[in-house]
Amino acid sequence: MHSNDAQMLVLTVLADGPRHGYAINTEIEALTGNRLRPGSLYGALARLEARSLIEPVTADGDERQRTVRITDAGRQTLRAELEQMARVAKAGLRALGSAPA
Amino acid sequence: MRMSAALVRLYPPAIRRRWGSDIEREVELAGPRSWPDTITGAGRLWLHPGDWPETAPGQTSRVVATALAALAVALTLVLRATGPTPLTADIDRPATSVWLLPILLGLVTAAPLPGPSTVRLMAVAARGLVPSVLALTLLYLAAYVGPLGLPRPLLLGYYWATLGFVGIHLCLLTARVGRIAVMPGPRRLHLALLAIGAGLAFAAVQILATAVRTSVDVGLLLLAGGLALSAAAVLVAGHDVGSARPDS
Repeated sequence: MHSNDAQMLVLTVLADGPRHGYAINTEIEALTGNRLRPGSLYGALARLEARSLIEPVTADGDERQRTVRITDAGRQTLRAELEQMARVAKAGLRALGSAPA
Repeated sequence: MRMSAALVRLYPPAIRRRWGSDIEREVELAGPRSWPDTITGAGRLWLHPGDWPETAPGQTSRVVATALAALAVALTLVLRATGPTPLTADIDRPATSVWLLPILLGLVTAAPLPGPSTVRLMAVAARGLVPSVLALTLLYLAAYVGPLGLPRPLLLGYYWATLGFVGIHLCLLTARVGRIAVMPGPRRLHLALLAIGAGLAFAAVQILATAVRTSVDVGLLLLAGGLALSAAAVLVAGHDVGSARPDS
């Protein structure tokens, strides 16, 4: 899966509330039918945190299960991306509907 | 060691500290089919130091400086192992050593500065250098005394083991010094990585240019390929460090 897709999935899951890595992947599996591979998931988490789109819930919390949450900037980015995807999906479905079967 | 734990060790220290146990759990859950992605994920993160969470002050600079020391050691050992190459210094043709200038400039740029704890720093540096100095002195004495009837493979093994020992201790010394000294900020690290990457790229081109002029040597081509890959990795990491965080 493309790294940007992985980041979008992580942001989408975190928009529903803070989660740790394993729980994020379980939600992604429920959403898409597939778990992200570890390299993709934790690469996406590191990238999103570096871009301040997610943040750890506690700085000195449990090191074994690090819980993260989406930031305001993350919500804005997710909203913009989803709106763009919705526009693309609408245009694509319209084109499919007008094309002969 | 379990494979999942071994794969986690491939990741940069900050990622291991933040996500290590989670990654291990996911790898165990997904099984061997997750190993390639886990390895490439680790490689991608090494190329993007700007994505590492700072789990300790100055950690990113310290790890990058230690990685540069490891690269310098590896390059030295490889060049020593390959024998005379188009990169070997030639007093009659000083231009053959020009590739080394940006690399030395980069290493100097990335070097830690003494900071307030100069005495402690010197003590740690001196203590850290003792094993290397002792090992090299023993090697020199062994060379001075002669083979003493020992078989050549044993002497060669001793020689390379000593060089490897010294190289590892220099990397450890860099990491220890990095905990006390003032490590380079993102701007200095960015410039250092770009200079080292440029030097490695220049070295690769120099070897390729020689290989084109003379007969094709597979060893030289492999060396040029290795240098080109190292140059690309260092330049990507340098670009990432420069663009990820504001200057400090």
